[in-house]
Amino acid sequence: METATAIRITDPSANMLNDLSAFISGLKNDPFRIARKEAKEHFESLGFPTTRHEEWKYTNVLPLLEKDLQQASLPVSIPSGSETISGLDLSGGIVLLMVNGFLQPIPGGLPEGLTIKSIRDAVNDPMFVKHFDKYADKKDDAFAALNTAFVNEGIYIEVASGRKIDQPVYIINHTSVVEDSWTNNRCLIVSRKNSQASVEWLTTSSGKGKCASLINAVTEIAVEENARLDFCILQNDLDHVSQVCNTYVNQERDSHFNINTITMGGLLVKNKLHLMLADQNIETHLFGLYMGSGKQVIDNHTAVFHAKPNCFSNQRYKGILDDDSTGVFNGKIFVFQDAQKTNAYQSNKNILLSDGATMNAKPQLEIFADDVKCSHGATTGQLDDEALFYLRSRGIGVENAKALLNVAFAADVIQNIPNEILREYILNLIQNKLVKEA
Amino acid sequence: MLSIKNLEARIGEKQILNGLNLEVKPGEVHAIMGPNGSGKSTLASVLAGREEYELTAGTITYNGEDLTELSPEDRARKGLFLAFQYPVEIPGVSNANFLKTALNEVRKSKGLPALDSKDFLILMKERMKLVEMDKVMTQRSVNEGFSGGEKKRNEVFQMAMLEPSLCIMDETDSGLDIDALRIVANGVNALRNKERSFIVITHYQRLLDYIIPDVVHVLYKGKIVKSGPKELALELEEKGYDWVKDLVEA
Repeated sequence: METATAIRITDPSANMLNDLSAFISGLKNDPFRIARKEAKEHFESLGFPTTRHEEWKYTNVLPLLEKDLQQASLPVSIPSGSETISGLDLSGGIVLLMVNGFLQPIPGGLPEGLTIKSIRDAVNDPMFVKHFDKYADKKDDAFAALNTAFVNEGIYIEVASGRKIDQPVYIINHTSVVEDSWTNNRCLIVSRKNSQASVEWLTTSSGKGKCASLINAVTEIAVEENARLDFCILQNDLDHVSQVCNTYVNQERDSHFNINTITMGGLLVKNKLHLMLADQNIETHLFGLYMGSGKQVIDNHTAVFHAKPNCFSNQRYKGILDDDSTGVFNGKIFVFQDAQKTNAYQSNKNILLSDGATMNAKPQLEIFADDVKCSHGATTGQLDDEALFYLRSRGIGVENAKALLNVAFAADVIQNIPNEILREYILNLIQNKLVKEA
Repeated sequence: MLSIKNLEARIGEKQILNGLNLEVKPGEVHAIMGPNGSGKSTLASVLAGREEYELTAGTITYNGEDLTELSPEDRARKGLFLAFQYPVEIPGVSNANFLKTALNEVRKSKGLPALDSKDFLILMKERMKLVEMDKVMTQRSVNEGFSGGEKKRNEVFQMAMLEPSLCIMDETDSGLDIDALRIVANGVNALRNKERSFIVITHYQRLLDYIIPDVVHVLYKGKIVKSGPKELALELEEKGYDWVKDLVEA
């Protein structure tokens, strides 16, 4: 008995497996039985990653996991969508709300061609069956495995062939923290042939005290032939809320996918983004902005797989790091042997605002085709002194001048968000974060 | 208005200004000419408040105040303006937003209320004409992708907006073709008045065909070695700087 207790305290993976077994035994008529069983086995062999794991070298989740987090329950009082994100006008969009991983009622009156369901109600939909759990790398990623092993609630979105949905779909993932806890978020988006839509994934949180909280999110996205999807992730959690956010995208021929990943708040934020460009003539843009302060750790790992010829991918990530925050960017581009005439670009630029801030940038290219154009570049520095002097020489005070330059540096990345209301909202967040001392 | 006495300045270990004296009265246009490396741009940088230069001796008094005590922004707020030799590109900051911020900070320091967007636009439209700026240039990021001529026109446009009392023009003619030179000079001439002074720093005489100076100074090895009327510029052009070197070293 004594040994068992000792394990419970020191081995978060073993604890999690115990909790998982208890969770599974409580389920009845489980529609995800097969996926869950596989995922559990993967997690059993993987366990939680340590900093010895290459992908987690600078991002240590163990101190958080050692707090023996419990799966969060649905809070007694449920906020409305707009209460979770004040200042953002949601009225022009379709608002879906997940609270602590529990899907709240889906609004009625959806536009024609847009299907939104709980994943539990979608298990017999042919497109759900075709794409669900097909892209998440649960064999290699403990959090993806765990997310699948605990899958129960989640959102399924399908945009019908040939449909253009004008209203943005907001998915608000709200964490209400009342104890040391974790939540599981799951989503599948299928953009069918020739369709077009925008989906905004927002994470917010509330809660008194400083309870530890970890969000484990997995989103799979399938963009079919000639479809276009704009996807924006905005993470603005409290400074005691952490998250692991894994996003997997599979693009088919002639499709177009844009993603913006904006990280403002949160304690430890680990984003993994995998893009499979599975066929020809695909266009993909990946933009990222992270603004760390305090003791934040913001880690972005991207991987773009060019499998076929004539595709274009462009990634641009920017960071501004203040105080004792840490940024990590690891961008991988794989160009397969078949993928001739690939154009793949990557850049990562960072500004450090304090001596305590750290940036770890690592671009990786693996190219197996011979007729390709690829480039990457990473820079980390301070503000441009010449530009600062220029602004000051026109009468602009030094703090204002710095803020102006930093806002310009950051705002450059968000220009591509098509949803103007969201873009303006993010611009405000950027300004508020940078102009605080002025 | 501006009184420089026995100014010595260096950057790192390199002494550049060696006892420079200059007096500028309201409304005067002073040209400062000199060979490369004589200290022309250093003088401009020191006046604007670049921190990498160390002043080792002398005084700079501007409207009765010790200029060296002021930050670059305070100098600008008190009416000093440097037209850069190499204007800086600032991606992401629109020319209009930059100028509005600058103008309102200058106004605030003078106890004037901020201009609202409408009044600012009216003023901008009026001053744009001086240097034949078009509206698109004001909406673009500061100097980003501007041609050499556009950058210099933008400097004079900013000058027209901020209405300084002392304008220092650092090699404004460098890299300009004759049309651009004429536009820039016309802008400057339109801004000349009884109160506003100019220090026009140039290597060549041709700018002074358009902006006629009251006094021409020759700077050599960090000090002014010869001053004279506008004809001195012509003489320099004709005889070359070796003439000055011979004069000094004789």
